[in-house]
Formats: sequence, C-alpha cells, structure tokens
Amino acid sequence: MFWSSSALDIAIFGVVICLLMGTFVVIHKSFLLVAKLTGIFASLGFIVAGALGLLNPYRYIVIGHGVFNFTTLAFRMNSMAGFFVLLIGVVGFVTTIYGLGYVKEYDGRKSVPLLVAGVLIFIATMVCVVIAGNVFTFLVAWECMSVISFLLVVYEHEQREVQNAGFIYVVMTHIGTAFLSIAFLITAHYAGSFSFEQMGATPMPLGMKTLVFMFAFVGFGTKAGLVPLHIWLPRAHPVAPSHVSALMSGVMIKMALYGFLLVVFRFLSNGPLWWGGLVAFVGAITALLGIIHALGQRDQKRMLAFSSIENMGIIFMGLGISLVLQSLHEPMFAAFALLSSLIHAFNHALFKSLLFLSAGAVFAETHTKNMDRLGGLILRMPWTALFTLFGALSIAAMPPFNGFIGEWMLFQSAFSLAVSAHNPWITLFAVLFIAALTMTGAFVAMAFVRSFGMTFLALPRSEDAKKAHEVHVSMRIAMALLAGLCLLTGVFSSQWIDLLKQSLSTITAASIPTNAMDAGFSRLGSSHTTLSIPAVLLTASIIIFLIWFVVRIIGKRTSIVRQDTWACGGTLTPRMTYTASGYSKPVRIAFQKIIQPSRSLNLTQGSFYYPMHYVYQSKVRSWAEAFLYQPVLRSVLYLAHLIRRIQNGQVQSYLAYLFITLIVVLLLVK
Amino acid sequence: MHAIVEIVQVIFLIGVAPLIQGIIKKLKAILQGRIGPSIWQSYYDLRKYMAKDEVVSTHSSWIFLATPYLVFTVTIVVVAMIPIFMTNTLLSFTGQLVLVVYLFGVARFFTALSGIDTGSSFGAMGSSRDMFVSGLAEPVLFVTLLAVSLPMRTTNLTLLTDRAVASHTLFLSPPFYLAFLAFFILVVTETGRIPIDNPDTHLELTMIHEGMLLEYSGKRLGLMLWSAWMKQAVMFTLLIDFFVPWGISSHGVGWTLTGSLLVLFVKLVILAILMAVVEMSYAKIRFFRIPRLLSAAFALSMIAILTEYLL
Repeated sequence: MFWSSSALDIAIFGVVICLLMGTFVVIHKSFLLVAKLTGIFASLGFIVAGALGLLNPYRYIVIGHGVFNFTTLAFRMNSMAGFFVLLIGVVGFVTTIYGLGYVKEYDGRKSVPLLVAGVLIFIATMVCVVIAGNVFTFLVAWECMSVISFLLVVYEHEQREVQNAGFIYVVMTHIGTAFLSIAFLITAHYAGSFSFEQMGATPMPLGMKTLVFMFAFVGFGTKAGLVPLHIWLPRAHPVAPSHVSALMSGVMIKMALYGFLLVVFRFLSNGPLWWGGLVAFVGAITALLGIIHALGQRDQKRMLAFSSIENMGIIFMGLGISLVLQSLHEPMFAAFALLSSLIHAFNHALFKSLLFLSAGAVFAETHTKNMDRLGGLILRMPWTALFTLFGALSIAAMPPFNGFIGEWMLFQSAFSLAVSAHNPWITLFAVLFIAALTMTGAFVAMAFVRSFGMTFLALPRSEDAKKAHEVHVSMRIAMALLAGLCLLTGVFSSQWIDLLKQSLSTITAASIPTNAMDAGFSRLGSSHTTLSIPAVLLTASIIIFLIWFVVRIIGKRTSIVRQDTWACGGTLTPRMTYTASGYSKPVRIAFQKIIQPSRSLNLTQGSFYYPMHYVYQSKVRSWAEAFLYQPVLRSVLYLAHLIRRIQNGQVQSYLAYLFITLIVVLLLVK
Repeated sequence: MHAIVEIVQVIFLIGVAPLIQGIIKKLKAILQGRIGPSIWQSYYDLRKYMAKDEVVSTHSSWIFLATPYLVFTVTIVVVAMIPIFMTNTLLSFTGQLVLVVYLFGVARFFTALSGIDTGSSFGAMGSSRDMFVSGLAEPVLFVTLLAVSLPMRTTNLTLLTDRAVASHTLFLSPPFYLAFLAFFILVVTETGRIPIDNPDTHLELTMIHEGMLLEYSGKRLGLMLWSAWMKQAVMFTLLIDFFVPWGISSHGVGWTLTGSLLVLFVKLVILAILMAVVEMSYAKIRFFRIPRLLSAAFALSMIAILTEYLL
C-alpha cells in the first residue's frame, strides 16, 4: 500500500513540477536551464513511479473535489498505469537529454523556451492520462495532451506543409475524442459512477456493449493511427521537432493502446467473437498498408511515421487475437497474446524513439530528410550510424534485439489460436494473420535496410551530406541509452517479460506462463524449454571465435588492398549510386494498386530535339485519401454549397426565417 | 554422448554443403552437354579463396568487413538448430521455427547492407531485389511451415521431426503433396535458383544474390559463398525433415546413426539431382512474375491447411 501510494505521489509531484516549470519558462527565459533539467529529473521520477506502480498492484486515489459532482479530479495508480508511466518516463528521460543539444537547431530562429515548455507539459499531460482515476480527469488530460501535441506539431508554423499537417491533425484528433467521450459516457451511465474503480466489468446489454466497443475502437483507433483513420499521422509526426516526433510516435500513440485496454478489457471485459476478429483484421490491414506506404516514402521521418502505423497495426493484431482467444475461453493464451502486445508496445517505444532521434541527428547535420540526398554518413557520423543500426535491427525484429521478442510472442499466440480453435475457419484466419505478420516483418526489414543503407552507406549524394560530422554529445548519449536498452531487453527478454507481466494483473486473473510459454505449451505437448536468446548468443560467440581462429590464425596470412569500387571503367560518382527511390521501385510496381505511384517528365529548357534540362517527378498517393476522404470532403463541400443558398444577404429573407422559426416554436410549445 | 553426435551432425552439414553445390553444378553441365567442373570443385574454390589477398572498396565501412563473419556465424547457428540425421539438436526450444527463419533474416539483412555499402549499383540493385523477393517469400514460407507444424501441434523442430518420423500415414494424405510442392518452390526461391534467380550469372542485370557478393574477394568471398551453400543444405534438410523424415534417428546411438547418416546423404544427393533437373527444364522468369509463382505456392499451402481441417 505504502509503495504504490508513494508511486502515485511521485507521479503527481512530477506532473505538477513539469506544469509549473513549463509556465515559468514561458514567462521568463532565465528559467531555461532549470526547465531543461526539470524535464530530465521529472522523467527519472516517472521511471521510479512507474516501476513502483508496476511492482505493487494496489490502487490509491487522490480526489480534489470540483464545483460539480462529475468534475472531480481523481488519480489512481495500478500496475497497468505503472507500466505506461514507466514507458513515458524512459522515453521522456531520453528525449529531454537529447533536447539539450537538439534545441540549438532552433536557436535564434524560433523561441526555444516555448519548445522546452511544450515538451515538459506534453510529458506531464501524458502521465495524467495514464493515472487518471475517473472519466472527467481522463478526458481533460486526453484533450490537453492532444492540444499540446498539436501546438508542438505546428511549432514551425510559418511553413505551409506544417500548417496543413496541424490542421488535419487537430480535426482528426477531435473526431476521435468525440467518439471516445461517448463511449465513456455510455459506460459511466450503466456503471452509475464516473470513477474508474466502479466501472470494471460493467453489466450492460449486448447492443450497448457493442456500441461502446465500436466507439472506443474508432476513438482510440484514430489516435493509434489505424487504417483508414491514420491520415493525420504521416503528416503530423514528421513536421514536429525530432524529439517531439519521438515522444509522439514512441509514447503518445501508445496512450490509445492504454485507453483501448481500459475500455475494452476492463470496462467491457468480454464480448462476442467478432470483436476480436475485427480488431485483428484492422490491425493486419494497418500493418501491411503501413509498411507498404513506408516503402513509398523518400522523407526519412515520414517513412518512420508510416512504420509507426504499421507497428500499431501489429499491436492491435495482438489485442484482437487476445480477444478472440478470450471468447474461445482460453484465458491463459489470451493473457499471453495481450502480453505480447504490451511487450511490443514497450519495445516499439524504445526503438521508434531511437530512430526518430537519429533521423533528427541526421537532419541537424545535413538539413535534409530526403534519403535520396543523403548517404555515406557512417564514415562521418560513426556513432549515430551504430545506434541507428541497432534501432533498425530492433524494428526489423532481428534476434537478439528486442523487436524480435514481441513478434515471436505474437507468432506463438497466433499459432496457439490456430491450434486451439476447434473451428477450421478460425484456424484459417489465424494462419492468414501469421502470413500478414511475417509479410509485414519482411517488408519492415526491407524498409530499414533501405533507410539505413541509403542514409549511412555508399557515397554522399549532396554537399550537405558530405560536410556532416558527429552530433552534440547529449544527443549521442540519448541515442546510446536507447540503443543499449534495445539490445539488453532483447538479450534478457525472459527477465524483461517477467517484469512487464505484472502489468496484466489489473486486467486478467489468468496466470500467465512464466518464462514465456512453457506452461501453456506443455499442454500442446511441446517441450518445456523456452526460447533462450542468451544460449543462442553464447553459441554464436563461440562459433564466431572459432571462425576467426581458423580463418585468421591457422589459415594463410593475407592482406587487404584498398581500391575504389569498380564502376565499369569510369570513376564512381555519387550520381551513379542507387537511391532510396530506386531501391523501393519493385515495391512501387508490385503494389501500385495500393500506393498509386505516378511520374512525369517535363522538358523545361531546350527544344524537343535538343533537350537541355528535364524535370522528373515521381509521387505516391494514399489509397485511403483517394477513395475515402476525398469523396467525403467533396460531399461536405457540396452540402455547404447547398446550405449557402439560405444565406442570401437580404434582410427580408432573414426576417422571414425568424418569423417561420417563431411560428414553429409556438406550435411546438403549445 | 548426445552432445558429441549433435556437434558431429553440425560439422557434417557444414562439410557436405559445398559437395551438394558441386553435384548440382556437375549435373547441370552434363545436362547441358558440357563436361563441367569436378564435383569437388567447390572445395578447391574455397581453398583458393582462403589464400588470396582481398580488395576492399575505399567507400565501404566496417559493415562490409564484418558481414561475412556474421553471416557465416548465423548460418552455423541455424545448422545447430535443425535436425539433420538425428532429431536432437544442439539448440532446441519452443518457437524454434520462427527463430530459424528470423536468423536467416539477420543474414539477409547484413548481406543486403553490404551490397549497398560499396556504392556499386549492382550491389544495391541485388539488395533491393533480394529484400523484395524475401518480402513475398516469407509469408509463403511461414504458411507452408504451418501446413506442416499445425498437424504436429508444435513449433519445436526436434519434436516436429520426432512426430513426423513416428507417423507412417503421412504419405496417404493429400495435403502432404500440396505442402511439399509449395515448400519445393520456396526452396528454389530461398536458394536463389532458376526460375527465380540464376546462381551462375555475373554482371547481368538479372542477378539477385550474386549482385550483392560482387565486391567481395578472397577470404570474405569464400565465407559468403560457403554460407550460401550451407543455407541451401539447410533448406534441403528442412525439406527432408518435414516431408521424407524416415530414416532420421530419434534417440539412436551407435551403428543406427551411421545408417541414418548414409540415408540422409542419399536423400540430399537425390534432392540435388532433382534441383539440377528442375533448373535445367525452366528458363528464368521475369522479375515481376515472381509474385505470381509465389502466390501459387501460397495458394497451395493454404489449400493444404484447409484440406487438413475440413476433410
């Protein structure tokens, strides 16, 4: 009791400090250094609070009474909240360290105190979302989080692209909030209370339950960037400052996961089979479309944003499989599938933040996000390159890095669904999910070989890339921390899983198999040994030593001659090397139905017979925008045109409107 | 005792891998009306590469230098995880099947990076194509593996092969043949053979895997080639484990092991002959036709799974 209450106290204290310092630094910029340090120490506090909350599954509520009954501010801490506070703390800690060096980018050009304050308040509001104890607190914190992230997105608001992105973001996020407000209010109505404590497993008629489920799915799905509600994400994430992108992609979209868990797994607790099927299906589509779109991008950060969509797809696939297993009365496997989602969510927070930070480092040095103009940076920024490679390996789910663990667990969950279902069609669906998962995995590998290779390897394709050098030490420390975590949580995955497993105690009573899965799979007749990354690593290091010994020591001594790369007789120039656009050409052709590439070649100088200068453009379009949003937008504009006829500007007609309204009102009142 | 046999079977596969390549090459030459190199040529090549000095591009980084060692190691770790002539393996655990595929993924990831690293267009082109083909092949591979592992109810390779050896009715079910055909298409894809890729071309715009190795020379080229041959042997062995497992010893010691080693060797040679004949009877297909071939394999394994459950 004591520990978890102190966890809540630390968290609330951190939030208050962050909000205060955020305000101070806006008022006077002499607080800048203190504010920067506050971010780091508050995040450390959140790490402690999260860890304490995670390990002590008790709740505790602080209530500040408001004017009305429902405007009470309430906070509580439990292991699920602890999990997310820990996640915010870790990413917040790293990004605030990174921010120390990165804000120099904006010095003199933009107001640095505003950026620092924004990040502080952003972190604080996200913690508020997670530790909120009733509907009112949750919605207020959620709205604050959305608004402050909008303000951070439009930090460089003088650019047209940024304004556009900000506008779409703010519209989409409010649509989402509207949906989830309704979901919360319906649940609160049936529970007879606004407090989350009384809302667990609320008895509701099935129709209402389904309504709440659908509203929560749409509401949180918008925040999570599920297809087709994702259109804001690839616009908003890339234009924000890089450490804000890291927070948004790494943490903020996970708030949608938290909310979805809260509403669907806590409040509704069980539902019909098709709920899970729907969630898993949307997740699979999101994952596949996300990564195919990512391969169509040249902009580094836009590519990463699409990859975030893909990862949220994978996470929701896990949730869907968990829901299906739950309705098939397999609580243990359901818990395991849920755990795989959570593990993947945490891992994604680590490696996606890392990749955004590294994209920021490259941007700070070269002032371009276009991969076609980068290259050769591994010789100029060796440390950044190494950390990015770690991130790329993690996100591509390469063992022994942490990304592999989440995908492996998800695979095992889908496999257990395929085996334990007694209906062949469910088995078939499980197999299709596995196919979608692995296809996504392979294209993620392609996307990140492309992104890493085109940014860091081969020759620099622009003057800026040629002049780049290693970034500020604080940025390198931040990236090193995340890279180290990616490797450690991968190698010591069983301990890592055991720690995060605690977070499920508030959702499910089922005992989750320790050490990944031996208990669960012994029933399926499998062996008791579980995946052991350290064993694999140990074997690998013995083998690599043996090879080195045989090849280098026993074998004949040979030397290495350094020569330029052979370029069919000429000298290799940067223009001859492959580009990121060229690299993904097979994908653009094979999936042209989805990303609809178009290209044009225009002669700008010279005549047709003696061309002097050509302009070549190639573009990709979004399928969802072309077929879903454009028609909706057009019909809204058309309706607006129709309604405009009422507004004809003549006083007589307005008087007539008033008169008619009066009569109608009188008739109704009578 | 077990551990020694387990190590022996790893060394056996590493050692026999170049021979399989030699047999396929020789047979292809005979079928083409040439005399062809000796079946031991791959070993002579390896000895030659190991004694040569290397030329490394000035544009490349440590990734280019480290990749061959990494790829070779990863491939051996995979060899240590698959049942060869005994179902017990050095490394064995739940979900092994996934790890095997992802470890090949690690090897492919670094090979693809090293292809880009030198700045040569051929390398990057090969890398792009290889990653694209793998993106299409991976789901098919998993579905085919599921067609085998779902009825066996495990993702542990030792158990899977144990159960496959124990079941004598495998031959009688129609899904068996569908999954076999699908897996054979995948073996062709993964080992980079005609009609997907041509292992014998260089400096043509058609090559996939060889394009990435173009800048390698000396010891590192030797390691890369040997890894590719080992991967081929692993794919053959997996095919044997899943579809013709009879003869693999379950818990045997002593002389029965020698018998199963011989049986396995014969099966590998038969597969090599089959591969050479298939390669000879097809032309390389256009790159953008590969998705069709792979979706055919996907359909085959989906039907295999369906018939298993619906019939």
